[in-house]
Amino acid sequence: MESKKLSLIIAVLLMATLLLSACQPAAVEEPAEVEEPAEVEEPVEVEEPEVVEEDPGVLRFWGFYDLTNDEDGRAVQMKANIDAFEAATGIDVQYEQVAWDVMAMNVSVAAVAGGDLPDLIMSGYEYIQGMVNAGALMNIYDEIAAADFYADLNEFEKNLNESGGSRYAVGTFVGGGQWYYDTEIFPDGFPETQEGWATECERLSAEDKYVATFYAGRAEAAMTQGLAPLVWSLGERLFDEEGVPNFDSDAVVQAIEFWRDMYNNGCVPEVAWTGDWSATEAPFEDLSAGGYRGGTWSYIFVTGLQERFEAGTVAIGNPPALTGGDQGWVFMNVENFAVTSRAENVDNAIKFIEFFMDAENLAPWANSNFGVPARASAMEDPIFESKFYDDTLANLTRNGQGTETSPYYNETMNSLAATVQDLVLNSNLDIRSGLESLQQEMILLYFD
Amino acid sequence: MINRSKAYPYLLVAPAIIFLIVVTLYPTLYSLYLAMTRTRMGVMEFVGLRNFRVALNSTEFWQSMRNTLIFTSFYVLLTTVIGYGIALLLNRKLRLTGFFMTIIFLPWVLSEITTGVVWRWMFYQDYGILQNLLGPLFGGYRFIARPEGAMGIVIAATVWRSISFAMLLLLAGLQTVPKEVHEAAAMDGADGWKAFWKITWPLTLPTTIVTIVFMTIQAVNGVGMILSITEGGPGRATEVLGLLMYRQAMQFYNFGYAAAISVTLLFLNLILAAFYIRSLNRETALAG
Repeated sequence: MESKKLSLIIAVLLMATLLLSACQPAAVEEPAEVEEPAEVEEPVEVEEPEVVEEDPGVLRFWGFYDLTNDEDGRAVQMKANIDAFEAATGIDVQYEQVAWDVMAMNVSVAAVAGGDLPDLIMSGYEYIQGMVNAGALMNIYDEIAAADFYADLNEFEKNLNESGGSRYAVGTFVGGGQWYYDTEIFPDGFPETQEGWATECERLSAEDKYVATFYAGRAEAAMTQGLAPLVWSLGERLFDEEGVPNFDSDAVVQAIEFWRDMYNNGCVPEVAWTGDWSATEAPFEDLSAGGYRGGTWSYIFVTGLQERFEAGTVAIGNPPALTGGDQGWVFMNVENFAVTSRAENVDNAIKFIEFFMDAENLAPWANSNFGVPARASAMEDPIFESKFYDDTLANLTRNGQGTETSPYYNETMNSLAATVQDLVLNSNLDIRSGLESLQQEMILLYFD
Repeated sequence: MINRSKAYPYLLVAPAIIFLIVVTLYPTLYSLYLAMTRTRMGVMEFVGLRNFRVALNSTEFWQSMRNTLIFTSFYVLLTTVIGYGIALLLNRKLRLTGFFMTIIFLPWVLSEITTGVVWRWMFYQDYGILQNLLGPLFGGYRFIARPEGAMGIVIAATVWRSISFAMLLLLAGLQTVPKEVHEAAAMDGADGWKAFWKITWPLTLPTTIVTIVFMTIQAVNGVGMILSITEGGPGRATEVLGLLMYRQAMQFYNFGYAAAISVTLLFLNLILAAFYIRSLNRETALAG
């Protein structure tokens, strides 16, 4: 009898749990675009509308940097801009640090699982589509198109962040890949062709040096910054116009063969494929590698790079092109602000973006990241008058190409990175069949 | 009055049951639900068993399953055998036992990610101390760049970190064996290996099986060390199911597909646990 009662209680509890499960996803089924206007802060006195204006409210903001770190120029500049915004508007900015590599994950998980989301976030361009897929971001096209700075945004920012009347982010500065080389190791300049690399490899091997080092590990960034530009050098793309992967191509095979040769012949250190970012920088720092593919941001991370560049022992070179290609390329990217789909203070988020995008505020911010401001007028600031920015602009203008897009960019490029790592490190594997298998897998997983 | 007294025990256990439902049963059922959904452009749709079908047709999934079984087999075998050996030594009450215990426990208290990164650095070409020491002994073999080598590093690192936990469980089991039994056996001439096989081993078998269950579940669900040492590479050589699930959920936000993998992991855990518990019951019955 008692066991029957117990069974009944358990059955009731199970039913209740199932009901709860069924109820949960309501928050997820929200469409990505939030049409409803943001909730307005409660006025102190309802009868007097002026009071609403007197209470500017708050802005909940997730950013990358530790604002208490006085040694990080980016954190210092971000804090200065936030302080100035608070002083100018009276809006209380409630800032929370979230590391750049987990920002998209935290935001997407919160969006899907119904967790807490701030009003505004920072994000690299490559993560925006994933967050849009997860329903985490708001379409802010109308708000940004109406802003004063809109007409002054450079074309690159617009090309990346705008599509068919949709815009989920605003870029603050443009950055991209950059090939640094030691002028004493390469007195005649950095090699720009596949054959040139092979020749230099032979010469430098005798001196126990590598031609170059770069991050080519098991992550999307390795493909975006490393493999994709090689494929572009042959006039090919990794995705078609609909964003469907085109990984099983002759160009990709040739790019992997190039990397495999570089690895097998000791032209590039193994840590390029097996190490983390800092491990790939070490051979350039200790001069065992003559070149380093980093980015516009590399001053921040590579020890001694700025000093070497300013002393003239390091220069920015052109990227390598594969045999049969016209020229080498580097990827270009943009650092963004985005408003979340569940933002409670949309107006304040837009005000913050407008304040930040003011040329006077934007210029020092871009400079703290060694990036090119997304507004043309901000570039006229004297802080950009240096050889570094001249060479960076020349590099991005001549060699820069926007990151490719796909609804499943992050997913497919990470899978490609895993496959490429395997194919480069293991010469017994057939490159073509490895790519065929990957292509089929990607179609099955994301495009079927 | 009688009814109230009958309901009383249920009321007492109700908070515990509700707590368990909230923190265990509800997430499990929600995972089952999630495994039958797919989120595209922020809209969740019900797709039935599609995620399971995709997983079963995916070479990535099967390679991860294979890696999980290889990793789990070596991990459980090595942690249990080495842990048992150390537990036997420490059970003898040697001098400096406390010191040895502290040394053995150090890896367990260190963070998975920190120790994982250190292991990774130790096998870097040109810079890694272990690569430079061991590489020449194996004809210049590059451990972290080869599938077998990377799996070997991952197994060695995780075993190194977990031995102390296995050892502690087994030591607790060894200390429950009455001294009198050993003394009586010694008087009857059973010593050394004979005493171990006839007395110590059978009496500690239930603890050993429990240890194996713990270590198996830990291995099947393990992610942190592998993520920080190899990230699942080279290629997918060390990508276990837990890591595949982590990537799908936390990197790609494919929560439905990740949930399908997690449900598969749940069943794998249940099958293994059921197998061990059945063995435990059989052994206990035989001992009784």
